[in-house]
Amino acid sequence: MSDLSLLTGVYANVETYATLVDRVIEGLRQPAASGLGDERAKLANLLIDASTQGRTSRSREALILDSLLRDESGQQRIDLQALGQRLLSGTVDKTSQSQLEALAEQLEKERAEVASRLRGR
Amino acid sequence: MIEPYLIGSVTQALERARQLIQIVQGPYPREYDGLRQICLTRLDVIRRDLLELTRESIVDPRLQTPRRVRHLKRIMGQLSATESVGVFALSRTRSDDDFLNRFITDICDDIAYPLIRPTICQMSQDYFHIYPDFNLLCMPLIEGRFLLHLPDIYHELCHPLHRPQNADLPGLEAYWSGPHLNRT
Repeated sequence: MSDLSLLTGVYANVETYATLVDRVIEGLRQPAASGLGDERAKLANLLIDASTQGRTSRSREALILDSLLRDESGQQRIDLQALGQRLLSGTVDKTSQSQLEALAEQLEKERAEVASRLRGR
Repeated sequence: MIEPYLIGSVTQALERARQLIQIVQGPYPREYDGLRQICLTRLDVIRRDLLELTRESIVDPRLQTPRRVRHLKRIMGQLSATESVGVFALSRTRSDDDFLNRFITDICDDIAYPLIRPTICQMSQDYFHIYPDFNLLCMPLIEGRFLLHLPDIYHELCHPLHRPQNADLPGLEAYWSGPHLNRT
């Protein structure tokens, strides 16, 4: 009879995405990161799916990620499709790295907000 | 400056986890075994993740520290939830709760509940709710003395059925294909 189950589900999603983005950031720092790791491919495909709100892939995860990353006016801050394609192609430049860092920060804010709502019930 | 603070926080969190494990290891009725195991598993993962942070070599703080801080915040979120929900429920077990835990076992047997039955604790400051991650059903302090809201227990029992982790369990196929659900 409450929104607790919903919120804990959202929290788990945010945490999963945030962990994935941070692992990809860490993977890019490693000297042997020239190959396309599983996590980088997973994030790339998730971002590409999110750019269509999960419609193309019928992915609920992509739809949730898309909604988490939008700003207050409902606009995407980052071109998720382009970032996903760059991750897939292995052409991750400084701009892409900055965008990944921005994604990680945004997800951390969302995580903290959901955690606050869970505590404030 | 941030790295020394981070390591200090990790050290304190490790001690916090150690003390919480001691609470979980205390004597409790067997109805709480499920909740205790969940808490222990979570605390083990938390300790492992904290130790990973302490062992990571810092080559480029400008790149690594922001990520490490985010990681620590997520771990602390898990630790806080484990302390304030799971271990808190264990730390205040009482005979009223023991009765309710036996009661919900009977309910689950009666309806052939297809999942592990939740633990019940009368620690809710609001109304009935369930923490799916802890399989912990919370009720208001003296709710066990009344029967009017008994149907709400059944409602809460259904939340775990809808967890993504449980979506493809063979035991739930009949539930998902039932006429009460329209999944189109």
